[in-house]
Amino acid sequence: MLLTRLLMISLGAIFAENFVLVKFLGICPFLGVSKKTETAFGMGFAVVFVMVCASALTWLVNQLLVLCNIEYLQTIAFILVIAVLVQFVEMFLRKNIPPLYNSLGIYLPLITTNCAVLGVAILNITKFADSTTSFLDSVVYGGAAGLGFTLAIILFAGVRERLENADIPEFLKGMPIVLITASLLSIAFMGFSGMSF
Amino acid sequence: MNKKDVLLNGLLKENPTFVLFLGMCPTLAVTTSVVNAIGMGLSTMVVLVFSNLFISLLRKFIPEKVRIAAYIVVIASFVTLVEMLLKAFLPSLYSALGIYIALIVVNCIILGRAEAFASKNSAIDSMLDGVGMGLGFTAALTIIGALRELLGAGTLFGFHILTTHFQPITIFVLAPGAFLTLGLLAMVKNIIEMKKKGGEENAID
Amino acid sequence: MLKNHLIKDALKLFVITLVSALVLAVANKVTAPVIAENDAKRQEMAMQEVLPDAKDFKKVDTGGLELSEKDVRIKEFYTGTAEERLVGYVVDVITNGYGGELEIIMGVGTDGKICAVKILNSSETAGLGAKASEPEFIDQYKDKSMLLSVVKNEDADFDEIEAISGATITSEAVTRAVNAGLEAVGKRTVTTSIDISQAVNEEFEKLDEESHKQIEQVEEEKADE
Repeated sequence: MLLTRLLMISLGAIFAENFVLVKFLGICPFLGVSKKTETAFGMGFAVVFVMVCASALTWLVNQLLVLCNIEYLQTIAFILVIAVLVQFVEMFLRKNIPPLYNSLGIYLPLITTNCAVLGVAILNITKFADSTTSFLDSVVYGGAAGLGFTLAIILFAGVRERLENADIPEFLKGMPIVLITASLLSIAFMGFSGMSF
Repeated sequence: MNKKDVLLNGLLKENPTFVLFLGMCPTLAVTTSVVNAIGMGLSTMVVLVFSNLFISLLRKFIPEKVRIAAYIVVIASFVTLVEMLLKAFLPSLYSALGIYIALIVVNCIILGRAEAFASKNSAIDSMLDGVGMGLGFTAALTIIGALRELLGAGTLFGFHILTTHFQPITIFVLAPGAFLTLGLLAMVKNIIEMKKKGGEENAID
Repeated sequence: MLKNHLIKDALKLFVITLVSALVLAVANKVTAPVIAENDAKRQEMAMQEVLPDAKDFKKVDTGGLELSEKDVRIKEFYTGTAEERLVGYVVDVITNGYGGELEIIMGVGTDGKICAVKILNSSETAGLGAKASEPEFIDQYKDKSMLLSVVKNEDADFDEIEAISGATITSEAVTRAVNAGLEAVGKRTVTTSIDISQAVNEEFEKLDEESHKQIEQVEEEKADE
C-alpha cells in the first residue's frame, strides 16, 4: 500500500538511516549550529523546507536530463538548482520573517553547501529509480531526511546546552567533547539499524 | 607569504581538518579504510587545485554579485570530470566512495578556499594553496583512516597487520567510531597545544 | 544602469556554465565508451567465474518475472552454453544490503545446483559485511539447490546459511538475492519445460495426423484392388 510504503520510507530516513548520525550528511551545520536549541529548531525547519523543495525540483530537472541524454550534467544542474532555491528562501525570509532571517544569520546561505541537501537529491534518483511513484517517494524522503536532521540537531543542542555547565577538563573543551558526544548519540541511533522497508 | 609558506599553510597551520574543521562529511564517511581515505583525499585535492587555478584565472571576469554561483559551476564541473575519470579507470574506488565523490562539490574546503584565496591571488599561488590544503586534507584523512581500519578491522590497505590475539574493535569502522576517532585526535592536538603553551609560559617565567 | 549590470552578470555566468557544459560533453564522449567497455569486460569475467563450464552466454529477457522475495530485482539473466549444449544459467540479482545496494552474480547448473556466487557491487562495512566476499562465507552457497534461510551462532543445516558474525543484515541480503536467483532459474526451467513439452506435443500431433493419412491411403488402395 502506498501509505505504508511512504511511512516506512520516512521512518527509515529519520531513524535507521539518519542523515547526520548514520550517513554523515550535514555534519558541518550539525557541529556548527547546535549550540542553542532555538537556533537548532530554526535551522532544522529551514533545512526541511529546502530539502522538500529541492527533492521536488531536482526530480523534475532529472527527468529533463534523462530526456536529453545528458545525465552527466546531474551534479552541476542539481547544485545550481539548490543554490537558486536557497537564494529565494533567503530573500523570502528577509522580507517576510526578519527575526528568523536574523537568527539564522550566515547559516542560511550555508544551507547550499549542506551535504544533506545535495545528498538527498542524488539519493532520490538512485533509491527510487524503479519506483512508479518516484516523485512522491522523493518528496517524502526529502522531508523525512530533513526531519531526521532536525531531530539530530535538536537532541545535540540539548546535550550541548547541558555541557555548558559541566566541568570539562581543559584538553577536552571545544571540538573533542563535541565529537565524542556526537559519537555517543550515534551509538544510540545504532539501535535502530536493521529497520528496513 | 612566499611560495613555501602558501604550500605549508594547508598542511599544518591551517589544516582543513584539524584546525579549520571543514569538510567533515567525507572525513567521517570514507575513512573506514586507508585506501578509501587516500583516494578521497587525492580526488578532493585534484578538484581543489584545478578549481583554485581556474577561479584565480577568471577572477577578473567573474562578477562579484554572482561569484558564489560561478565558483559552484567551476567546482561542480571538475567534480564531474573526476567522477567520469574514476568511473572509467578506477571503478572499484568509484564504487567504494559512492555518493561522496559527487559531494566533493559541497565540500566547504573547496568553496572556502575559492572565496578566501583563489579569488584574490595569482594563479600559481592559488594552485600551491590547492596543493597544500589538498595534501593537508589527505594527510588528515589518511591518519584517521589508518587508525579506524587498524583498530576496527586489524588491517591496513587490506593486509592483516594485527592478527592472532587482537580482537578488532568493530565500532571504529562504524558510524560512532568516526566521531570518536576524530574527537580523540582533536583531544590529542589540544593536549599538544596546551603543553606547548604551558612550556612557553614557564620559559617566560 | 542596475538592470544592465544584472544582465551583464547573468550573461557572464551563463557563458561560464556553457563552457563547462561543453567541456563535460566532450569528456563524456571520451569516457562513456571506456566505461561501457570496462563494465562489459568485468561482467564477462564474472560470468565465466561463476559458471566455468560455459563458453558462450546469451542474455534472456525475463521481464515481468514475479518473485516471492521482496526488495530484490533480477538485473540480468543469461543462459550458458558450451558447443550448443546448455550448461547452466547465470543470474545477476540486485538487492539492498546494510550500506546500500548489493549486487551478486550466480551460476546455476542444469541440475539446479549453484556452481558459485560472487558479489559484484556492495558498500558493506569493512571487516563485517565486506567479509561476505570471502570464501568462508560465499562458498557456503555451492551445490545448494533449494531456497535458503539464515541462521546465527549455530551450525547450518543443508538448507541454511550461517551468518557472518555481526553482519546479519548483509548475510540475509546475499541469501535473499540467491533465493531470488534460484527462483528465477526454476521459473525459467519450468517455462522451458512447458515450451519443450508443447513442442513435443505438437510433433506428436503432426506424426499422428501423418500416420492417420497413411492408414487412409493404404485402405483406399486396398479398396481399389
